[in-house]
Amino acid sequence: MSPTTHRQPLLEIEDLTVQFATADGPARAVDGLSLSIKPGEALALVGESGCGKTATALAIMDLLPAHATVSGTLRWDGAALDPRRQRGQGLAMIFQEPATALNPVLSVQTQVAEPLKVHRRLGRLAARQEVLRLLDLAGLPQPETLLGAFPHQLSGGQRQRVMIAMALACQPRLLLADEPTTALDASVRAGILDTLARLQRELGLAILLVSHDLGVVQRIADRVAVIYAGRIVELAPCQRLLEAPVHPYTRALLACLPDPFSDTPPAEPIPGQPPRATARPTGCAFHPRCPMAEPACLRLEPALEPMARAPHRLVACPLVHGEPA
Amino acid sequence: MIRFTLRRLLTAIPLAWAVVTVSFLLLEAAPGDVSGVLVPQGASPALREAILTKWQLEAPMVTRYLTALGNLCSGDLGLSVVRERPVLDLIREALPATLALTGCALAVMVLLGLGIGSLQALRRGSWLDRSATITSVVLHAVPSFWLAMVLVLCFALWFPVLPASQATDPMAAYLPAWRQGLDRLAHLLLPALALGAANAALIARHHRSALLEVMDQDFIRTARSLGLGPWRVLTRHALRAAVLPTVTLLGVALPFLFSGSVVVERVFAWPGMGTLIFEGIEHQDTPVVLGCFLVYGLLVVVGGLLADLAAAALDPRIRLD
Amino acid sequence: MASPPRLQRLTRQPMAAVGLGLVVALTLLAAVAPWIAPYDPLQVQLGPANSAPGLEFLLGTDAVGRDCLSRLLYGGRVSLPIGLLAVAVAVSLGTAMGAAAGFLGGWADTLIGWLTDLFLALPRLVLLLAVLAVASRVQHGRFLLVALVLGATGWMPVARIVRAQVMSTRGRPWVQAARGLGLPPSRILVRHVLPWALPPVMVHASLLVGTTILAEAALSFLGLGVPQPTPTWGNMIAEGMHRLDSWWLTVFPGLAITAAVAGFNLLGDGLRDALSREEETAA
Repeated sequence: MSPTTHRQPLLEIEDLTVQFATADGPARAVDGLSLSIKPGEALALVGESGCGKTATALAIMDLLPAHATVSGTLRWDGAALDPRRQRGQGLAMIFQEPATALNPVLSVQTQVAEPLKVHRRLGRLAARQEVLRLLDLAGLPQPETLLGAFPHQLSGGQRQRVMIAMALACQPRLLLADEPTTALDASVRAGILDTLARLQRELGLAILLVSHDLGVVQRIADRVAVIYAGRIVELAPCQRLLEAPVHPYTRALLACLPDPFSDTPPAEPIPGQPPRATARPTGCAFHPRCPMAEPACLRLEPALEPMARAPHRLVACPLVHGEPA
Repeated sequence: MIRFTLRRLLTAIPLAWAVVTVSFLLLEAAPGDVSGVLVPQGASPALREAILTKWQLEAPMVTRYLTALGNLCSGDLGLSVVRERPVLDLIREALPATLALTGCALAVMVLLGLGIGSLQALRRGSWLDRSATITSVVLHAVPSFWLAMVLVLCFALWFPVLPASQATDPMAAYLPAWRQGLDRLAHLLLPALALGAANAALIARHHRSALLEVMDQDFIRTARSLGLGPWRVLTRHALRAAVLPTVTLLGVALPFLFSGSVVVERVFAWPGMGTLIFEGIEHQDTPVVLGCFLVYGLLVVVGGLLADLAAAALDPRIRLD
Repeated sequence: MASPPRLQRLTRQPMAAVGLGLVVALTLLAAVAPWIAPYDPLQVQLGPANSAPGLEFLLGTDAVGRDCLSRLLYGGRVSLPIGLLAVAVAVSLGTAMGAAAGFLGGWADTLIGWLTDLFLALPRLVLLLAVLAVASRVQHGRFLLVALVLGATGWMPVARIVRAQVMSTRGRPWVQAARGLGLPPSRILVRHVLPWALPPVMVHASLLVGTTILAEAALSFLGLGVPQPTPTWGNMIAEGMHRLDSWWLTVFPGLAITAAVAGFNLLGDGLRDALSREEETAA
């Protein structure tokens, strides 16, 4: 994990809102989310399913379906981000289901070579060489044997690495990884994550990792942002967050994870359900389930603010700002 | 791919054999004496004797069957009882015209069908989509021979721009080669359109839903995430994956195409197998009718095989079947 | 057991409603033709030959002075019943074949599957031509012969549908229960398995009527269907072919065929949509 440096952020998200038109009314998947990622940094976006983390990633790439409305500001290297220009040229994404994310009728070579031909204008022979290099970089042994293979002939882990190779073909500075290991066997997950960590080191690649699995996050993230009901509730360096979570939601989330090395049974799961995107509670979205909730929590939406004693940690809960971290 | 081809060939052969057997059974089912059916009216006793021997007409059925199989394999389809010429020769003369017609109709089907289906999918819900759907329904219900006549009415009678019959101009032999080519095309246009339009509607409809389904797939999103332009995503990814059902449909539609060609040929006096088989029926020339039936059946078997091979070439997952 | 699709759901779809309307209208017109036809369809020299549509003869007259409108109405009394009869034959045959293949499995399935492939490979019209050529001396009972042969060449898709349904229903709990009760297989097949195949077969049957009408029209057009002077839409178009400038001889019968086929096609599509929505709500 690389240390964060005080350089200009690579990607800045300000007040992002993503709304879907549904039969039950507008559904706000993302509700005023702000974030920034520095060059070479691995930031994890963590939350339960339906909390808006995938929508955030898709919004950055402008890959949301047509019935989604997006507002907010996105900045790349300080200037306004035009995802359609940056896609494949600095910004790349890998998806959760490698089985369906690859084109079933095209060979590995064809698919990985395509961004090379389109963006880097490589000829056939040069492209073939580069494809081999990328497959190797993505951690695939004996890439020559895979060139003519089709996705259905590969294992889940191999498919995901092919996707990584395709993403790398774009020479990205930021890689968005949407639950990259969720659909894979447990034995394969560590390998993929280690590959991503290695790429971050070797290429100075920034990574935005979207996941619900804190174990995955722990392996590779520098900073972690916890997202609940479309907003970030806590943002901190990874180790600090895991050792000393501050926001009530983060605490509850960590508490209900089983600890493989301890005999104590995990605590009860958090009571209640996350709010539906069509019906948000007033004030703080977590207050119906929060053990510390006070009357003020129903009225005010807490802003994400630095903690008094640890300015590099951000938390969206006025009740915990004074606590030590 | 090669293994798949061999496997498919293996299933095509019994089918071809079955077509031959059905032809034989039809011949046997003809009322009256089999020799009366196969021997021309004014044949000399020597010719009659030759035919009886060649086809073993006085032997038991099994022998007749095996002899017939042998004769067919060596290319002897019998003698036309009306024209007293080998059936194979007649078919060989008529086949190119039928193949040209059905080939062009296939091209019409594919181009129109894929083109309109794609447009419908990309502009889903628009007035273009809806009017194309209504047109499809109508075209699919229209008898191809009637469509042929309507086209002749419009483009050959009321606004005479295209020829109404035959495959070539009678004076064509005197024209320079390129004019001859143009003349052939002009003659092909209306019949191919009449034959292909109804099936084009079917293809457009299936392709529309296939393309819509493909556009929703994850790999399209991946392609877009790589920064590939919309045209490239459409042609190299979406269409490539969506075209498969159309290829399969083409294989299934072949029998209908050949059936339709018979009537369309009649409308345009097209010198193909349709006219041949019809004249055969008119003059009770059973060897010609059965010979045409056999060839049509084999054409469908071959066509189906080609369609399956094309599908396997497009989608490697099929090769596992 | 699923209930058959309700009529209201069907008519809620505009296209299906149009289809139903067309089918009903054409059937009614054909049924009451003897009462509403202005003239005798077989009577020649009622008026000037080849006269264009006008007040006296609404759809014009043909080459021997017969009234086209009356012939058109009576034509429906051939084309529609042949279509329906042929489909009845095809559905019966196809259901029997499909049920045997799906229920008995094994060699029956292989044999029937192979037969299905064979019949599907033969161009229907060409097969019909060959059969009718061989049976050309038969003039009486042409109607029945054509309907039978059309039915005997249209059973294949029905067999496939029934087979698929039977195979999927075979393993369902109530079938196991019926077996456990010791009910004879024929009873199980007919009362517990086949009814499930009914809805998709109905969809296909509707579409099949459309294609059968087209096939009968082609046969009539070639002169091999019901013989003259009985008017059928197909042989009316054949007459029109020789006198293309008398456009009314060609246009109206063709429109009638198109309307009939389109009606059945839309009806079939509507049934299919109604069925799939039934399944979705039931799931």
